[in-house]
Amino acid sequence: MQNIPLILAAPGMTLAKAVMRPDSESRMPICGAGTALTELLIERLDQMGIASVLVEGHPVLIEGEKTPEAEIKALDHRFRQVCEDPLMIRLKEIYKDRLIRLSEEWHANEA
Amino acid sequence: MKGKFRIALLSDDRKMSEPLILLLESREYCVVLRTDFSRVLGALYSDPPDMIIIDLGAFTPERLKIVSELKTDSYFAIIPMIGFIRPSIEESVAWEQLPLDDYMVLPVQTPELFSRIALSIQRMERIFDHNPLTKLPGNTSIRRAVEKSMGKPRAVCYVDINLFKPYNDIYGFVRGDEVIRMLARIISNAVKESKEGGFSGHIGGDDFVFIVSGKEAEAVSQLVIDRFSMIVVNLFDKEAQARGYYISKDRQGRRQRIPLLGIAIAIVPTSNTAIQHYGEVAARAAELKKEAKASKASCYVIDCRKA
Amino acid sequence: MQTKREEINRMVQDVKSLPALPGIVVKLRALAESDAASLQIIARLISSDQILSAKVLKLVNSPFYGFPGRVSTVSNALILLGVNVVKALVLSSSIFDLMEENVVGLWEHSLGAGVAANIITKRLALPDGEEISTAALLHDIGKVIIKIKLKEEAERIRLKVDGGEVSIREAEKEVLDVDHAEIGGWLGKTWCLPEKLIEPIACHHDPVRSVTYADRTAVVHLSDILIKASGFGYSGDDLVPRIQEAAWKKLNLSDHVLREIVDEIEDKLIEVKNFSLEIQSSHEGKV
Ligand SMILES: [Fe+2]
Ligand SMILES: [Fe+2]
Repeated sequence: MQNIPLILAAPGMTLAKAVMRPDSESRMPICGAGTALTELLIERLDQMGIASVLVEGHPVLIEGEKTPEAEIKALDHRFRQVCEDPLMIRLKEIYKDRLIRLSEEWHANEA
Repeated sequence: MKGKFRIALLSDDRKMSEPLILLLESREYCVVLRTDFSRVLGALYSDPPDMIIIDLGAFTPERLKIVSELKTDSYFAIIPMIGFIRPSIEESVAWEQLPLDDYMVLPVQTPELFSRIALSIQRMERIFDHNPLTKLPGNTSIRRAVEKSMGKPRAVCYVDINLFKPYNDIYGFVRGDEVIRMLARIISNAVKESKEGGFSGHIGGDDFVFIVSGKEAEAVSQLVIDRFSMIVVNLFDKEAQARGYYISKDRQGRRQRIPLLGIAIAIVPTSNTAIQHYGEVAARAAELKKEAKASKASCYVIDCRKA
Repeated sequence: MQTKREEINRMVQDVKSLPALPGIVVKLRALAESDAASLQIIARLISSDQILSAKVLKLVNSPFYGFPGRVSTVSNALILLGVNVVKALVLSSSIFDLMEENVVGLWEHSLGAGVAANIITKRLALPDGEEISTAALLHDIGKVIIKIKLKEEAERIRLKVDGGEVSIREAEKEVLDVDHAEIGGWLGKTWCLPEKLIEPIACHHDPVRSVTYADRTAVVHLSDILIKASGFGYSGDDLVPRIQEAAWKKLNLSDHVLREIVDEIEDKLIEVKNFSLEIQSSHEGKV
């Protein structure tokens, strides 16, 4: 799953999460998770003022975006003072597992 | 506890305001000068003065809006407001639509200013029949407002709180007063938000009246009910909140479960030509209220009798 | 001799207002001009900013309105004050002159904690979710006071944090003899906020001190830690604080539930990040 600005969205990508109408109280979905993006759909999202979308996998490399490996290093660094505490170790593992999952998605796309 | 009398002076004309402030301060008034009209409302709301003097300048919509906005909030409507105007403009002002308490023509003569300030304060105390607890207009104003809406497509809505007495007995009248004040704010804000606006008044105790357009009466009533039930939980203890009732004793000393506070609203449309005077509106409302009270939960009942 | 603590306490009692993030005020101004803006939309936007939320809660709880210390959510404040009063209040707010990175970082941290608290209370089916989220949103408001009212000390605190392995809270205690949590609690008292907001704010780093509202404080404590673990925003240092055992036991979370909570928070934070970027650009667009 990757969050990308709409300008980088391209036909063939799949929405990982529903896109909601912006500034609407009812939070009406425009299109649901699993929808495949098309040229026309992207244009319409743009007209509605949607700035970014969540897509499946990790289809684009965004400049400045940290790799999951770098994220894991940063995570270790944040936990540096509490790395002996068993409860905190459990908490860190939860975050680490998540990053490992993201890393697999990321590299699956490279292949 | 009460400090000096505080006057908010709204003006961006330094030449006029600076000597004026010195003069007012020499009379022991505390003056707060506000020069940025775009932010003046927020400043007044967050730090309410005892009196407002507004330099109306060239009668820009921005300044007129400040006057009308303040006068539509019950807490601010009772703050006396004097407007300063330019000499040539006096005749062209639509005074009927300007809810000012008094005005003075620039340049201001000082002895006159002091007497006008004193008179404005006095007049406010004399003519306003607002309820001291909620600052909403009282019975004389209510009667006038009801009479004005007779024969028009309006509706007079009578509100009161269900089982308010046991609440006062258990939680004390200080808490009871808080409930009353909250209900007053809920009613007057809901009325103000309605499309056509309207009137809110406080008869006394836990009895209120509001008048809105006939079309909107049910929607506004429902809004008041919903908001009241949302807010009122804050005035119960944790246990009562969780259970949805509190324990009180009846006259025989038996323990009773009393539900959290709710309200009953009786709606009397005034378009009905069979209703000729104020007393009839009140009488119909009293009958309807019995009906509304029969239901334990908050509700409104509307008068549907034909003319 | 007045101690440093007393001196700061005195100073806090004079705090009338604090600056808000310019982007939010710009957005609210646009909303206020279109008459269609509903109560809910305005409430939601105000609820994303700790300063504006505190400002609205300060007014509704002031003795002037006659129910001091009773209202603890922005939506209830809007109902009681009225839309026009709140709009005028927000539009008259002073704003930060500069969109400093750290200011935005703290804003994101606070909003993130509010979001986390909302998810935790829902998952644990605790009542009063909106009130607890408000407490979490406001938990670090003491840091804004230090930044704005104690500029020189704030700089010394920053140098201490940057220079070594000290948390911002430890640095605050060394420099000021009091931490941001306690200062936030003092502000809450001065502004007549409800005790159910004050206690979680004042005790969020030491939840055992929280007696009356221990559950709420525990949620705020955990929310802060999860947002710091996630690395979202910046609250003055990059150290994840230790979860206090008593608070952990109080919440009684299994690893499985905690995992679900973390996942839900992380997903939601992507939206929050987008919202933050939008807010930052709406400010730039204006200037
Ligand atoms: Fe903190
Ligand atoms: Fe924090």
